[in-house]
Amino acid sequence: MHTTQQAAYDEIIGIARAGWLANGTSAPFTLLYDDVKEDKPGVDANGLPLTYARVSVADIDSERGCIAPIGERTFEETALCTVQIFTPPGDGRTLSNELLQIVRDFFRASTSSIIEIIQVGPPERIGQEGGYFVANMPALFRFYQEG
Amino acid sequence: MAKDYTGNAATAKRLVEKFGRAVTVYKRSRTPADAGKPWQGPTDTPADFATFIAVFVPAAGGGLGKILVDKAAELDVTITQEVILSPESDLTFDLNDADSILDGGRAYKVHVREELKPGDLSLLFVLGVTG
Repeated sequence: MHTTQQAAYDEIIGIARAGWLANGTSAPFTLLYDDVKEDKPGVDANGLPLTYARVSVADIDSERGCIAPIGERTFEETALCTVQIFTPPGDGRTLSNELLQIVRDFFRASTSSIIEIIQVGPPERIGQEGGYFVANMPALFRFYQEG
Repeated sequence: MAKDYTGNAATAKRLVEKFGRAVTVYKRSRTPADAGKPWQGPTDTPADFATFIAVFVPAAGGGLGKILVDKAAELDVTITQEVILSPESDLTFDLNDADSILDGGRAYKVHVREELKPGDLSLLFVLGVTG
């Protein structure tokens, strides 16, 4: 099914958001979005920074998928959605691993009529950055555009 | 006993306001325009704004200026101006929240911020902007 870039972005970010907010921990952690100004969460009772995630989408590839007149061609668009997980350091990556698993699970379990998720992971452990331990979960997906 | 920086803050305010010009500093709204799609950005109405006297200097040099240039470079941003403000000019507006500046008819986007705060009192803010 053909779609637009914005609709495809909305779909994948919507999947990430729904999965994150329904995650298995006791309360949902803050989710931030690329190029949207939002306040990061503060600190917990121990003075450690509160967990949050940021979701972003980047285009990877665009390939013509068929021979047809202009306006009726199908282009296969590949893009990467990344959920960056920021957790307080010092717990042996326990929370980070738990959240990576949750993100991986909801991407793998998702269904959509306009995008196809074709690869989830492997997770990228960025390590300590600022006051956080950072890990990324990428999800490669594709959608089709008419052009 | 900790040093009292009240005098330094007053001096910083006096000098900034002597050499600067009036600008409007804005904090963007954090309220999504579409609550179901918060990734599409906030409402157009700013969350807050205030008038400050600001000194504009080229983005270069040492000290705080160099720190700002380096910090912006980490974000792949080349700032063009550095804007020096005294937080004492309007204590109701937190300059940590500054997102953009309107200088006459010209708009600047704030990318990076540094605060000179050797004690309890904030003496100066320097904002790295493009525009």
